[in-house]
Amino acid sequence: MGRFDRNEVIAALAFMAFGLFWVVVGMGYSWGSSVRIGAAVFPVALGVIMIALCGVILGQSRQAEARRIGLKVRPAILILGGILVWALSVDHIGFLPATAILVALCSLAERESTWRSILGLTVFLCAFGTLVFITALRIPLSVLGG
Amino acid sequence: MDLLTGLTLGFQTAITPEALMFCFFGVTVGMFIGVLPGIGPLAAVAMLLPVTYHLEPLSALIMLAGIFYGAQYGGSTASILLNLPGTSTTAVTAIDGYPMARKGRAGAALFITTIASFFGGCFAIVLLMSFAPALGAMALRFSSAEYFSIMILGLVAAATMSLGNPVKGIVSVVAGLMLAMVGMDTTSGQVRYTFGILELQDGLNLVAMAMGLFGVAEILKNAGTPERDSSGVQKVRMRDLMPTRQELRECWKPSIRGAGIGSFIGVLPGAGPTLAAFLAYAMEKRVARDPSRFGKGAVEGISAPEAANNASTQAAFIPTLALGIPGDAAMAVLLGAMMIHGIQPRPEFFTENADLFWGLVVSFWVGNLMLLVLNIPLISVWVRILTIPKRVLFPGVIFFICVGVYSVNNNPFDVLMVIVFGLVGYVMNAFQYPTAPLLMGFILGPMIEQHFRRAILFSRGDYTTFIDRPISAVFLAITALLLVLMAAPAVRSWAGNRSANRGAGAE
Repeated sequence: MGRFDRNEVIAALAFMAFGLFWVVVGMGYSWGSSVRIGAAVFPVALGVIMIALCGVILGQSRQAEARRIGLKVRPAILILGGILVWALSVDHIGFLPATAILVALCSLAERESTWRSILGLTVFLCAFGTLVFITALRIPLSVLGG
Repeated sequence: MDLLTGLTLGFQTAITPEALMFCFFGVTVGMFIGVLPGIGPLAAVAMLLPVTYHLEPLSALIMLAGIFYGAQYGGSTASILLNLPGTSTTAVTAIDGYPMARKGRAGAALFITTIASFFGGCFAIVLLMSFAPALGAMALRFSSAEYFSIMILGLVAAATMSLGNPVKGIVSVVAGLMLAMVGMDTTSGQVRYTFGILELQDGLNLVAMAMGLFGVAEILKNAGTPERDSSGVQKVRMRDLMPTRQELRECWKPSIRGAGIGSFIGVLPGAGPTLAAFLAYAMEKRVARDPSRFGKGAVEGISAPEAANNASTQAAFIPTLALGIPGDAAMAVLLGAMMIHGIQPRPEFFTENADLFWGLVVSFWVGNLMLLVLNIPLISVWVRILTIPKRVLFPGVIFFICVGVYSVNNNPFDVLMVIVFGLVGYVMNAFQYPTAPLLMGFILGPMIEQHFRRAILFSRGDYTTFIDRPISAVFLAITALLLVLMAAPAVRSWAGNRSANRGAGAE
C-alpha cells in the first residue's frame, strides 16, 4: 500500500464536495423531457463528472510524491481584508477614506513598506483615482461620505 | 469580399485619428503591464475592460486587442533582463534570454525578440486575412451539434495540453462549466444556484472572476516575499542594441519555423501561446547542430519562441472570430469583452461586420508596427518600470482591480466576488490546479449547454446526432483521441505499479 499525498487528497475531496453540492442542489430543478432537456440535466451531469474525476485524482495520489504547500496567511489576510473593507465601506464612507484603508492594509503585507512610502502611495492613488475614475470616467462614487 | 476590397475597407476604418489613438493607447498600456512581472495579458485585458464600456465597439476591440498582444511583447523584456517572466508564455524566453543578458548582450537579445515577435505577428496576420473568412464560410454549415462538439474539443484540448497533470486541468474546466450554470437559464427561465442572492441572477461576473483568479491570486502568491533584487539589471545603451552579423544569421530561420509552429498552434482551439513557445523551443533544440548551446544564451532559443508566441496570439483570433471559440483564457476574456459590446463572434461576422473585421486586422499591423517602434527606443523606460518595488506595485494593482470591478455594475458585490475568486485561485495554484481552464469553461459553459439542448431538440431527442453528423463526429473523435493519449501514461504506470506490487508481495 503506497503512501497517500495528504495535500492531493484534501484538494480532490474539496472539489468532490463541490460536485456533490452541485448535484444535490441541481436535483431540485426541472428535468424536462428527452427532447426538451430541462435545467437540471447539465449541472447534475457536470457534478457527476466532477465527482468521477476527483476519484481518478484520489487514485493517482497514491503514486504522487508528497510536497509541502506553503500558504502565506498573513499577507493573504491583509490583502483580502483590504479588499473586503473597501467593498463594504466605499458606498458609506466614500472613495478617499476607503482607498486609504485599502492601500494601508495592502502595504502592510509587504515587510519593506515604510510609513512614508504608504503615505505617498495613498496620496498619489487617491488623487489619480479621483481625477481619472470619478471626474473623467464618471464612476458614480462619492469622494467623501455616503 | 476579396482581400483587396477588405484591406481598403480596413484602412478606411482603422486609419482614423480615433482608431490610431486607441491602438496606440492599447499597445502602450499592454506593453507597460506586460513588463511588470507577475501581471500577464489576461489581467491586463480584464483590468482595462471597464474603461472601454463607453467606447464604440471597434475602438474598444482595437484597444483590448492591442493590450493583449502588447503585453505579449512586454513580457519578454522582464524575462531577458531579470529572469522574471511576466507570464508562463515568456518563461521560455528567459531560458536563453537571461544568459544572453549576463553575457552583456541584453540589448541585442531585446532587439532580436522584438524583431522576431514582429515577424511572427505579421506572419499570422497574413494567415488570418487569408483563412479566417474561408473558415467562417465553412462554419456557416455548422449547426448546434457541430458547435457543441468543437467546444468540447476546445475545452479538452485546453485542459490536457497545459503543463502539469491533465486530470487536474479537466477538473478545472468542469469547475468552470459548473460555475457557468449560476444565474438564469436562458432556455427555461429557471434561476439556478443563486441561493436567493439577487446579484447572481445574471450569473457570476466575468471581470470579477478573471481579476480574482489572475490578478489577486498572482499577487497573493508573491506578496510577503522579499523584495526582488533589481540591482543586477544592466544599463542598455542604444548602440548595444545592434545584433552582430552572426546573431542575425542565426536568428532568421528559427523565426520562420517559430512563426509556422505558432500559427498552427494558435489556430487550434484550446491551445495557446505558452504551448506554442515551448514547442518552438523544443524544435529548435532538436534541429540545432549543437544543442548544448541552449540554455547558455543561444539566439535561436529566444527568436523561435518569441516568433511562435506572437504568431499564436494573432492566429488565435481565427477560431475566436470565426467560431466564437477562444484559443486560451486571455482570448476567452477578449471574447467576453466582445459579447459585452454586443458583438457575437460567429461565421457571419466576416460578412455582416466586415468593417469591424478588416478594421481590426489592419489595426494589428499598425499595432505591431507601433510596438516595434516603441519597444526599442523605450527600453530604458521599461527597465525602470521593472525596478518598481512590490510595496508600491501591489497595493496599486489591488486598488485598480477594486475600482475596475466596481465600475462594471457600480456595485460593491462584484468586488466581494473578487475576494472569493482571488482566494480560490491562490489555493488552486498552491495545489497545482491550473486556473486558466476554469475561466475557459466558465465562458464557454452557457454556449455549450445551449447548443447541446438545441441539438437534441432539432434531432427530436436522438442523442446519436453528435456522431451521425460527420463534422461533429470528427471533432468528437479528436477529443476522444486526446483523452486516450492523456490516460495512456497514467494507465501504464498504474499497471506497472500493480505488477511491481505483486512482484514485491510474492517475495
